Amino acid sequence: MTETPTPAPPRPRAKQRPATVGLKRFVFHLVLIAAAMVMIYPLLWMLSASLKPIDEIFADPGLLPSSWEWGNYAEGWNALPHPFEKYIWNSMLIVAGSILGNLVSCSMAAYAFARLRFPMRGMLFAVMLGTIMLPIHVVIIPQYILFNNLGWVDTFWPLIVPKLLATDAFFVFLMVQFIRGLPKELDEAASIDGCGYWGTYLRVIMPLCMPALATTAIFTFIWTWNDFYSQLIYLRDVDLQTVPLALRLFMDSTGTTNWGALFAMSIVALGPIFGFFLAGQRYLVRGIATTGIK
Amino acid sequence: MQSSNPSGVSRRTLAKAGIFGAASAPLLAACGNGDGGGGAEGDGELDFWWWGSDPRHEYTQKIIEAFLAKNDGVTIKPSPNEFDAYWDALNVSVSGNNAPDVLQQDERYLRDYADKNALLALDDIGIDLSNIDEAAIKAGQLNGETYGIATGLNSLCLMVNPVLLEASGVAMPDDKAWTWDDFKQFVIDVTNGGDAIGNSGISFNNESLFNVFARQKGESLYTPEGELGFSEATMNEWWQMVIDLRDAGATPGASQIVEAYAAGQDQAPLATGTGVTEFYWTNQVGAIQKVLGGDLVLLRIPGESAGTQPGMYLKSAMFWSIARSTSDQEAAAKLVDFLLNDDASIDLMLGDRGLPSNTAQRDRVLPMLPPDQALAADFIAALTPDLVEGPPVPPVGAGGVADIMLGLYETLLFDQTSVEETTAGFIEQTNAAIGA
Repeated sequence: MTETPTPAPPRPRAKQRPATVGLKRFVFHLVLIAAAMVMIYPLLWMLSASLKPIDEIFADPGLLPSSWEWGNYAEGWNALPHPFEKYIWNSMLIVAGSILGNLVSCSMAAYAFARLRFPMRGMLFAVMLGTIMLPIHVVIIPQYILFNNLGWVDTFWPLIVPKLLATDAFFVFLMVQFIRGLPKELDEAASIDGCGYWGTYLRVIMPLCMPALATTAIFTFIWTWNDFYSQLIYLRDVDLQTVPLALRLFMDSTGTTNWGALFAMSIVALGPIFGFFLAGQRYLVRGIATTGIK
Repeated sequence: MQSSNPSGVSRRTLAKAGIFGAASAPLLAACGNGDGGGGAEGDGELDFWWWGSDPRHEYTQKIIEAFLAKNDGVTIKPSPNEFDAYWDALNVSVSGNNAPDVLQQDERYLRDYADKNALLALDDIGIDLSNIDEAAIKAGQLNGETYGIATGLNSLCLMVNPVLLEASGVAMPDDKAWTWDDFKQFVIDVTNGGDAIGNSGISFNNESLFNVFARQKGESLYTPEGELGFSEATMNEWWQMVIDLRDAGATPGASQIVEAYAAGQDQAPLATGTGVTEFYWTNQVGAIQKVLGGDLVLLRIPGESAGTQPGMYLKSAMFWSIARSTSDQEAAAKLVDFLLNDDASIDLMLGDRGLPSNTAQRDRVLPMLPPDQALAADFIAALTPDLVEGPPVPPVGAGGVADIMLGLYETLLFDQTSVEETTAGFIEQTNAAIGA
């Protein structure tokens, strides 16, 4: 039931002319590989810089270090007030809470907008979409004052609790689009079989929404993991700081920046996001292709 | 799809939003605390904020531990940060009436925060100022009240790569006697004599360097009243020198300068070994030497003896300040006192926050400084007797002047504006920024 019924268009069969086709393919791949190299160069540069002695990082543009400084990793891991796993753990906690919050709350809001009839639905939907366009500058100070009065500054709550209230309008919109694409007859069949709103939501809509849920989970992961500003504002205590904040601690625009350690920890910080993306990317593509957002 | 990315917002614009929102801070602060101060009976909990990079975070933690060992009943929540992020975070937290109790301040923002009523006057709250350099105290005073006490002192200097200089066959100049014309000729000769570029051209937009130039003529970037204090002719002369150097090929092309500036000190020509000289603050020498992998020589700014007065001055590296809304004024004062005056604190800090402003401590730690800090300390020690009184605290809005000067410098380099237009633009935009 996780597949959505999208019939593949019939593929026109090209006439087989092996020699020229082979050559074309070869050139095509060559171009693709060259373009891929250009794209991946900054990443390779970072990887190589994480293994270089500091006086070589900017002076020598080559990718191969003269000596392999594996010590950058050990140094970076322990250079900050806490060992680096502490920051990864903090980031993971926030990410887990955010994903859970977004999956539950956004899917409920989306179900309501897509399937239920209630007064002022159109207007409320527009208001919800309007929040996408509301710049963060407008809300940050009032939000901060609110959370400060609740005593939540220097806790993870300001970063997680809003997610439980479906504040990420983009994901609501994504799932509304997806649910609208599901055949209404399924809902009707469910209601004939005795399902109420909850039953329909839990037993029919949610299982069919897997691709959209996966997309939501992946994007929430990436955006929360990389989010700097709100974590900067709300997490001041050194015990609560997260990976993006920790990476900043290596930098000083007028003093000593420990570049080797910084790049080493940047590589480490890429690990989880890379792994999660790798594991979830087939859902991601399917989710985007079937929600009508291209 | 990127549009809703919560992290896809530039911090610069957010900082502006913060400043905007901060306008309401005094009001909020007034609601929060009737007497504006924490009162004598504090809760003993201090938020302590500073900026820097990992070595500073590490030793500052140790200073905190040393302080806590001597002060029962006080807890400290340390919060290290990086410079740009620090100001974003501080902006929002001050606006949200949740300012840290003890914080590092910078010259450019001190008046901003003092005027917002966010900082406590430090004069009579039990901080021992008897050994603090008088110039260092003056640097943090506004309307006769001290809102920040300098942690330490720095000076601008010309850093020279002696190896590249020797390769070019040019002799080291006598920096006590040289003029700006000598400097120009020197940079041109060095460029022509070797492979490296004479000067990387990324500091002529530094308003502090221009301030030295103006002060040598008996003028000043800002007056004590918070207005601009230099003549158009002086700034025209400054930009003309920049253009002359560029046209002689003694600085890189316009686009390379812009690139090198944006890349930061560690990727600029002096640090990568492709440039012979550049103006920097003395406390930057250690970091640059580390990236360069070689030693540098510090020279005085040109024109010190040729003008009507010496223009160089000791700048406060950073300040210690206490928030007006602190929950425990007494403990906060104790912490600042400890940071400034205690052996244990200075032993760990050494010259990292500038050459200590406590003169007794300065003399005590001089022999203990690591080589790069000793280089800067010796330079400042030799310079100090020749200096006159430093410039006044910059006006509110001075934090934006660096960006204004950078923007105009870049249009000048690209020949989009003339020397006179650049000067006029600077005066106009700066006046708007500082409300003069």
